Amino acid sequence: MVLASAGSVRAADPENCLLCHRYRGLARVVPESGQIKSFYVNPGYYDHALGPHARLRCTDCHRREEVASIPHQPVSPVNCTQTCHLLNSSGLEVTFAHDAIDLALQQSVHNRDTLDKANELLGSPLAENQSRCLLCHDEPVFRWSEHNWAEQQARIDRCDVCHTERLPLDTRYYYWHVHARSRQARSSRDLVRVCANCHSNPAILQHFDNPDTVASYIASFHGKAMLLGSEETANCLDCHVAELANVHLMKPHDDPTAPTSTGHLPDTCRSTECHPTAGQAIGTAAIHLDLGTSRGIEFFIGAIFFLMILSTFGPSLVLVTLELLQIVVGRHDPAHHRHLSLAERLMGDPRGREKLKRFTPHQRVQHWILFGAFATLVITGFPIKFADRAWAAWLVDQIGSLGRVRLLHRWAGVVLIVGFAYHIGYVTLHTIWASRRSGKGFVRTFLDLPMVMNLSDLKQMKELLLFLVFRRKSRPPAGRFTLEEKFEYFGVFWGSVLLGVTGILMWANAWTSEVLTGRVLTIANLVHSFEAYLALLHVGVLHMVTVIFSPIVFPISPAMVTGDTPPEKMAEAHSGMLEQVAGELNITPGKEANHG
Amino acid sequence: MADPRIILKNVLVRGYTLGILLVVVFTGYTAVSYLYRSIFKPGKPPTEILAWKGETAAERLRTPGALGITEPAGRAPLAHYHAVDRWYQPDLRNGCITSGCHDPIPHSQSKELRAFANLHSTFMSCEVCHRQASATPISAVWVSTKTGKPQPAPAILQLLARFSAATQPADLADQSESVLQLLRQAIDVSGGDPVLNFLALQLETSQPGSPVWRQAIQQLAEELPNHARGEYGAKIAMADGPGIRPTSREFAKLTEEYFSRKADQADRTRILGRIHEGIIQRPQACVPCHRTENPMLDFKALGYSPSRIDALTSTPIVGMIQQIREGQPFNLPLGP
Repeated sequence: MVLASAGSVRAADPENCLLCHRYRGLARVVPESGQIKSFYVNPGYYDHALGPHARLRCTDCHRREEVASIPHQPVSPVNCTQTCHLLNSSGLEVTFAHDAIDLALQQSVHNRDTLDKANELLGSPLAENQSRCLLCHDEPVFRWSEHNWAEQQARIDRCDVCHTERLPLDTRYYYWHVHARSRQARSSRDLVRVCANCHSNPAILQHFDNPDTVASYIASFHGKAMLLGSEETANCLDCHVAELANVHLMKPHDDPTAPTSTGHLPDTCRSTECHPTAGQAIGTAAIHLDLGTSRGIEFFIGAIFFLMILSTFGPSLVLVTLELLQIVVGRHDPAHHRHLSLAERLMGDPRGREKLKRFTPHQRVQHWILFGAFATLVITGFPIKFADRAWAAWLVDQIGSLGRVRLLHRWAGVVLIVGFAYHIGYVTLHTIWASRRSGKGFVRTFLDLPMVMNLSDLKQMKELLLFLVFRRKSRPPAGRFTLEEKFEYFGVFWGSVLLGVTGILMWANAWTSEVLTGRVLTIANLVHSFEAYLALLHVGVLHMVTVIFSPIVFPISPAMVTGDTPPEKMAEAHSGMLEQVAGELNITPGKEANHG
Repeated sequence: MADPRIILKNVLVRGYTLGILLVVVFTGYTAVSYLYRSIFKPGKPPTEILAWKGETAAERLRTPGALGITEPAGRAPLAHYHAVDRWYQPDLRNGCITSGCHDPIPHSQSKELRAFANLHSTFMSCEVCHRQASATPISAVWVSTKTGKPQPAPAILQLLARFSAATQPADLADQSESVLQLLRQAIDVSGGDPVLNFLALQLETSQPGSPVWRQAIQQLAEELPNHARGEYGAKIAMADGPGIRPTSREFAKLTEEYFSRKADQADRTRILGRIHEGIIQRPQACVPCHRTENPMLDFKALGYSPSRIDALTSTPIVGMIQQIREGQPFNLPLGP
């Protein structure tokens, strides 16, 4: 009995309103609108002092004469600017009011007229005389006080070590208040959600002739980091409210006193919490960039990349698809059985097997280093590009945090760049060595390297396409490397340079904004993102099919492991090399090849 | 004649390749169309940014999965001030509501009483008040809103009854495991209340009877009454009586027949009569349940603790109801 009665003490509700209002069912449906009008008040809010309003009595906001009797009289809307009488920590009565906020709002872009119009365009969720504060606010809750209750509660309980009795409610409340108010009142995500109520509402955007600034924010790095849970990244208030100013005093960007005005923007970006080492030009970086509605240079870069992806990935996709189609319909080159027999014979001969190895151990090691760097870059880079997808947040959680993801990404980028530089050195030395041995010039020798594309490849491409579309009976013989492999190799060169340069520009954003302009950062971000997408499409879709999923090599081609390309693959894609090696070793296909 | 194994292998390889081909084409198309949208179409914030507020549309209480109703919402609906993590536990087994005939929060006529009457709708089936009872107290049981089947008293009420019987935390030491089990059930029903979760964790990780355990039990004793607020995942329903239960298949079949195109006026009148057999439109339901002497509901049998029964049948409550029914205002009963 003693235990059960302990819970009836509710200091925050002396009027006992929660006797009825604690029931969620205390509600009705408004017949005209079909909407629920709920009179529920969460008793936990007051019992656990979950927010700054937890010490208020109901009649501090609602008029006593209207609610003191049951059933209540028609209840007037609450005026959020009325004066409250509160007890401070010493038990003395002090008055408090939000009228200063109302004043700040009047001087801001969100003045009464604007909020009234917004309410109207939102379908008038607020009644005529209801406080406009409710367009953005609901009952304020100390941030994390509820969801991290266990952790925070345990922290306060530490006080009991010295204070032999449990702390009085007010002490708990003041702890909460200071603890919660020393940081931003809402998470960045919730802040953006609040702004999106109006700033992504089509009717409001149209009326005020505004772009969807929430959409463009989310397309920026800041927005993506916010979606991935970063609290360090800039949210709407960080840029649109002057440092240490009242958040309600928000000015339009064409107001010269606004932190987003041309004159103040660089200082806003370079605040001590954001980019203190950046140059003045960081203010020219586009934060609210929506490619779909922009017609600046960024849009044209996007359009160029779209065409580039169509003209590179598109043909490669067609080639891979047509190759797969040949397997589906069971079509082969007429000499396939001969080539297969030849490949098997050569693989059975130690000399032949050695000569058919298309990659040296040194090259294979370079490939796996490239693979490791590329895979890490994909795993750590694409969650940022696709931050609005559930898998992206999951992946970041698995890795630990966005900070760790970015760190890994940068160091994987360093490995890629170093590996690429090493490969350039390797190819250069190899070319010099081959040039001296053959007596040809450096350029001629380079162009003759087996991985380098040349004019004869164009002819081969035409013949291959004719074969794949059933217009030619025989497949053109390919040598050590196929046309697709040469193209992928070229892609690694192109991609590493573009991704490396743009990555370094963004990593060294302070230097970039000091020496170049902020816009370079925007462009670098776009190019980095598009090029990475192109690389992923090529490697993640086409290369994976060729070396893993194609039934000719499934479950994986050992060419990069042991160096041996499967005979079926050799016969299908490298018949020229087979013939050449067979000729050198004077090996002929078996008799059964003629019965294929 | 070809070897069947070779034919089978061929079919498998070609089928597999066709699958890969389709995946490649689909992936390629999806990738390019995404790129096109991201460059040439105006951007739009993701759903988690746009749709995170609860909804106030009563109609949504008839559908599963509504944000803020069956799933917690990020914040209260726009223009609603008081913080709510969750709106209502939908009763998708209640034919009176799911049929579309009555609102999920059904009482709307009497201005003075409608909200009070609706207050009961989260833990009492319509029939408890609206069906003619053959005896007092009526034969009532708890019925799960998930399965529509009878169940024991809600875990939170069972816990309150146990705590009510105990004079000190040590009395519950030998029931620690079952207390924890009930607490977990109560947490499931409440939608994962963080305070109860924390206390459950403390009980789980401490030795029954230890200082930490005793402190957790004491805190639980203070906390539990706040969670006995009519959201139990179950409702009080009549165990017997005239007519058909709104959770039964027969009820669902009848409402379906009523709304079918084949039903004519005569059919509808007959079905309505059958559905509403023994139904009272305006019951005298408040005082008969809340009176001290011979209340309509046997609260003890339904699992309520003695202190809760006292509160429900106390003179102020009955007096308040009586005065409201007589059209007189009643002043707030002040708390301690």
